[in-house]
Amino acid sequence: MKIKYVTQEALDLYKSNPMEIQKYIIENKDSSWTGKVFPTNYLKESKIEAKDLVFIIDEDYTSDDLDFINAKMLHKALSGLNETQASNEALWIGLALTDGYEYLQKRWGAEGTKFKYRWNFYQKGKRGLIHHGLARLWWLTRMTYDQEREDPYELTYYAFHHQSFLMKLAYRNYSNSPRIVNAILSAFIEVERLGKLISYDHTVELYKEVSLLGSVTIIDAYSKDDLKEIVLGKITRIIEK
Amino acid sequence: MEISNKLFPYPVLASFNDDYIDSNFDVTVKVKSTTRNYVTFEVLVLLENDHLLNLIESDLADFAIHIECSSTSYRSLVRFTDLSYEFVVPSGMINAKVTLCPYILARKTISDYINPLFNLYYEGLSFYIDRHSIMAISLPSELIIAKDYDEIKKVSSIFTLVKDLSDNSKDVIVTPDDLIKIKVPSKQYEDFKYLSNAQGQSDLINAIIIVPAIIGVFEDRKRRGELFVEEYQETRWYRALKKALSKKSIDFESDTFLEEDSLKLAQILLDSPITKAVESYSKIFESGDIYED
Repeated sequence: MKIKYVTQEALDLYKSNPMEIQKYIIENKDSSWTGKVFPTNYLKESKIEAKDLVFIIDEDYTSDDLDFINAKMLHKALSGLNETQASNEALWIGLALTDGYEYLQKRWGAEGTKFKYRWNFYQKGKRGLIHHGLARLWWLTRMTYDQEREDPYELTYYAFHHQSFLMKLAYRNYSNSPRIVNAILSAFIEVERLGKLISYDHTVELYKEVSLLGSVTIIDAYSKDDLKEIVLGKITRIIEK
Repeated sequence: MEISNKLFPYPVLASFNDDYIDSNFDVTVKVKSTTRNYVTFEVLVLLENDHLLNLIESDLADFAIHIECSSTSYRSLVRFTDLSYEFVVPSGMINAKVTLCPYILARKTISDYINPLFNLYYEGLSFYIDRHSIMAISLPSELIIAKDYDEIKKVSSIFTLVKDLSDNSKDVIVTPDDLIKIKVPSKQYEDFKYLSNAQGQSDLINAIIIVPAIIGVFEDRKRRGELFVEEYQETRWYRALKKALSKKSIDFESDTFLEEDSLKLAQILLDSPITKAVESYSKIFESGDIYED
């Protein structure tokens, strides 16, 4: 099947009437209300193929598990998506009002600020994307996916099961470089394999040190292996302090 | 990557400091072409410092461009040694504003770096330059990647009508987003929509809605100056308006814009909508399409 966007008219209606739309979402466990509020044919088919787009909402899973399972599913289903398309609000709002509706309801709900952050884009650019309930699944997987690993979603699994580490990292500008993110998460996994425990405070200190590394040098100039070695050295020293 | 005013533990060639004398590093980056698949960038380097040039020729240093696009979170580094260079980025990876920061980076560690054109206060000193360290910086370029297939041709198309779902709404509200939204009460929404699409009625809508909205935009630009430019530069309506104004030889981003008359400009851009609206309304009236009770 092809993925559907909301039309510009429907997107404007959605974004310009937050209080009314939030009320509809809170009051309706399924998305049948959209037919009454949005104009006819408010969804248009894109050229993007989406295979096996099925969200899991089993209540037996933890929220970290649910996020990881659905992030992996979404990343696989939308394998043809590029960054420009994935920054398009119309795509994520279209998905939120159709296939992703129930997942968003179960995972986040729409009460209070949840609607602003999880059903909408509270800020332009990356910050809005890493908070929107569905866009974040794709963008955080894009940050952590490593096709050179035996399991390309190994870092993604770690990241979604350490979401406080991940979100703090995502706020850093250098997290736009998959190579730098890869080095950091690989080092975390390696350190934990050695039986050492990483705390949130350790990660905050490490992220600052990585930023400092970029004060006189350009971090992006380091090779993947160099970065891994540097980060591993830094996190080990921080833990043992 | 905001780099100016940064302090380094060694001399760096840059326009914002005086670490070097009689030297210059100035890089121009332009978009050469944009297609559906690739954006091609063209780089022209001006380097006036023979010692740094020698370091590049002997593979101890090279030129680099750090590329970042905030809307797609794209980030990468290209490195090269030629004074003119071209590189491509897949179109799908960048959109709207792209920031390109040019540098000279050390490829290898240089343990006793001396340059004959160091400023006098570094006379007799040598420096340890770690590999990948910044040795020179040129001012960053901010380029807007305008994809032709996404371009707005008519000024009136930068506005979009939105229905106000609130029960008590009475007024029209104008909010800038990627396009400028004109939110109208739900009772009148269909009427507005009908008039916008009806043959021969666009002047009426332009006169009563678009002209005041566009004047509001111009006045806001005058009030907020640079801040306004920074906030909206990446939006589609801003780019379209800037282009339409430049066709009339008016620079939307220059200070001279402050002296322009907003009402006059709005009428020029929309091709005299007020007089045309009055004319077409009179014709309707004369033809008997409108009756008084």
